[in-house]
Amino acid sequence: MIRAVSRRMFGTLPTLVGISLATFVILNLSLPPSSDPRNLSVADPALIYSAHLPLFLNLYVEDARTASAAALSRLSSDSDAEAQLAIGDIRDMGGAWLPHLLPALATLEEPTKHRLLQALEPVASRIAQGIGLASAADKVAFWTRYQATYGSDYQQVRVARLVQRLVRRVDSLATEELRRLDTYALPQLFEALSEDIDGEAQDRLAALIGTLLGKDMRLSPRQSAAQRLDELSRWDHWWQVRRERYRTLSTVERGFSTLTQTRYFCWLTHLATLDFGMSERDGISIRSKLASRLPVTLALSGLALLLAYGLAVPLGIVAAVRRGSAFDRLSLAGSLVLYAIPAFWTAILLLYLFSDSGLLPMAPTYGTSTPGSEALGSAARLKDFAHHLFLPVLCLAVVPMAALARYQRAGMLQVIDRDFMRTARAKGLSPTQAILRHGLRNSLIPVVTLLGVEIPYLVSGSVVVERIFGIAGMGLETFEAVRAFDRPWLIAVVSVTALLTLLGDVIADLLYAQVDPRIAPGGRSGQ
Amino acid sequence: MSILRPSLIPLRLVRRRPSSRRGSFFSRAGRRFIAKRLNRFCLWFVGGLCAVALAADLLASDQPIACRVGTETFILPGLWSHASLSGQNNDDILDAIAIHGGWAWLPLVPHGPNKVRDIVGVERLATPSAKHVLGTDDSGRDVLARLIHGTRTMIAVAFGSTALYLAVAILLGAVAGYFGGLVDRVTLRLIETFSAFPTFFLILGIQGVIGVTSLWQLVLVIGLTRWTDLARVTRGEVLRLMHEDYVFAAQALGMSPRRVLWRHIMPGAVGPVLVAANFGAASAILIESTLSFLGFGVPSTSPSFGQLITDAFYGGGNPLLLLLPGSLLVATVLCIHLLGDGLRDAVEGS
Repeated sequence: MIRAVSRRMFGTLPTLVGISLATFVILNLSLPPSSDPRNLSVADPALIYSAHLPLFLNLYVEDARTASAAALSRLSSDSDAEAQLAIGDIRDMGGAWLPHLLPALATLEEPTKHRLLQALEPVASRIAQGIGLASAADKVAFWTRYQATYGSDYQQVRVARLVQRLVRRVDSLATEELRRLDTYALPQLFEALSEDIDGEAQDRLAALIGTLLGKDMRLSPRQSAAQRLDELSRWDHWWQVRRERYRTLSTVERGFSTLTQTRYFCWLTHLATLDFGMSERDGISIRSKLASRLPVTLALSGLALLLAYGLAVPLGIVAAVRRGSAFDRLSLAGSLVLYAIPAFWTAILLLYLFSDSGLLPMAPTYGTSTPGSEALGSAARLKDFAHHLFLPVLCLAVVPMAALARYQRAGMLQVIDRDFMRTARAKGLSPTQAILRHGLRNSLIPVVTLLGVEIPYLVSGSVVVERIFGIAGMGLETFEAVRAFDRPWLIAVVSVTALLTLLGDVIADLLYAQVDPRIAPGGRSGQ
Repeated sequence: MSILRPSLIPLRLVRRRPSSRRGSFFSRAGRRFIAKRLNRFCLWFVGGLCAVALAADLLASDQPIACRVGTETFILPGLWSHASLSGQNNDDILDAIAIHGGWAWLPLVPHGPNKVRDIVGVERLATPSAKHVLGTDDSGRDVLARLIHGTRTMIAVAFGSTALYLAVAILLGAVAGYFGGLVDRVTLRLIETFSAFPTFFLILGIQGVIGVTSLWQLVLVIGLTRWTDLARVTRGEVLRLMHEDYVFAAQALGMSPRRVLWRHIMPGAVGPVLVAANFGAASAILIESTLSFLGFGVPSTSPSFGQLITDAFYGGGNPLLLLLPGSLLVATVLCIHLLGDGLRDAVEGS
């Protein structure tokens, strides 16, 4: 059984990739033309989904090495403005680029060399060495000596060790050494900050990061936990946008990065973690919205599914047993008509029948609970909930029921004249017993296959039903989202419903194998 | 190959068809189809709707079908705009005729589906009267005219999107079934992927993200999301027919895959595919009306049944306005379903 399940799951992998690709297309249609990520706000979908990266293959992986090389070439350009920009870049980047800049220093031509030295001056003051050197020759000599002395310190393993020491306890020596490495240590520092560490360690790391970046990025113990979290997420955002330029990648890492530093990979990670950013409509995170809305819709669809099967299977059996009778003809005609009615029309008819002003006022027509029911006991609340769900579930169940009843009738007709049924009668079972014990299971096969088809229908139908009956599920939220062009929610809901349908498909297949023993577990073809 | 020819051709020529199998496959199926009264009725109903849809501008328009004002004659001024008549409705033109002389052939319903000209005299939510046979909606538009033009939207969506996904599905399904192997596997995965998306959420998602604004964009979206079932059916049929002797023969004669596929396989597969397409048309109508009911369908300048229902449901007014478009919608879908059933019986030859 476990093997069958896992094999079936494995079989869905290509479809999963297909779904991720299809949703990726929709996502990219929704993203605005790429702009500099540093100018975007935290919640902007373009930032969350890395709109600035290439789609599938990143042939120009950016890291400290390539970024500093680019800065150097800009430094030697004839345009003065360009050079000034490069100088600013180098000054800001500092230590992270030093290992790549210093080897080039000796070979540079004159104006470029001067500009580079000018750019490195603030860096020197940050690492508190070589300050006050006047002549260019002295400066070159200083940087050459610096590289010879400390060049071997610029190693990621070493930085990681220092950061670990700093996380564990107050360590002025480690702090000092990290300060000398300047921004070279930032990747590890931010990584450590995002891990689960205690507040004081966070404060130490934050203070160090603040000094290195020359910014006031201090976490204060007086801040509340929520404020600290907010502050940290802001830093994280700052870092996410810039981190590539600080890291020095090895050749292997660069190879991986051609695949991972892409929009598609970024989308995959979001899809896998169900992290779809924030709603553009009200700024609530999509994941928490999904968590509150999905169960409502699932309950609605599940109950409708139960109702549909519960009514359709007996109906179909009776119709098949009394083939040609008035009941059979009536149920056939009825199912045809019901199958043609759109869900919103059913809902309107139900409302006219059952609402307070209708013919048979018996069920509430709006929302999922009576106002004030929070005060009641859990049993009473459940009853209230069920009472409210009555009409929506009925409304959703009508169309699947009509289809299922027809299929059940056909399935029953196929087995009712078979030899094994005659044998069952011959050995003395009553017609009812024969049908229930021998016919039912075999006649269920077509109906069970339909399960996979009904699930997308129910999920789709929830939009209309939730809208009309005012139920706060996925459907209603989607309705509102389309009105407000809430792209993150729409992308999330399209992906999640597709994943759900896939899951339903797998379940239907496994059930199918249970009902029909001729089908080898996990196999594809029948008979 | 030359050895095959003589043995094949005489066989075909010599065998005489039994009299009950006279006529081509299609004429036989057509006869069986027409023989049933229910099928004939449904055909008339759907045909009538198509006629109404085609003639919507002649049936309900706010300009005459033909008129003569003074010395100038206009034919179908509503379709080809004339500078001298632009912005005038039937009443204005009748007034002009009363002054300058002439004549006018007014449409059956002398109101357009959209235009409400004089803001002052607008009758909102008017009850049925001689002027507005079914009354007016909450912006004063004639309901009967909107109903007539709504038929056009419905038929356009049904035919347009069905034609579109028939094209996509037949192409993909036939190619996948015929060539098999990798092509087949990739197509199957494509079908599986697309059928994993609940159509309605997918369409809503595309709508919210891209913003669908016109009838034809809607047709495009429905057509491009609904082709999966049909592609499966086509593929299955092609796979079934691939094992027929005449296909082997055609292949053995050295015909190109394209010729074998279109001339020898597809005609045999057309029956089940048409049945599936028929049900697809019904579901396209349902999707369009549901979208319009939610307010995400066609723009209000091209009225649709879903819009009429939503207007009547949320706008209040005469319950007849709710019942009429609703039952017409259900009747249409039902008729198309019945047609599909009849078509299936006829094709299978019962």
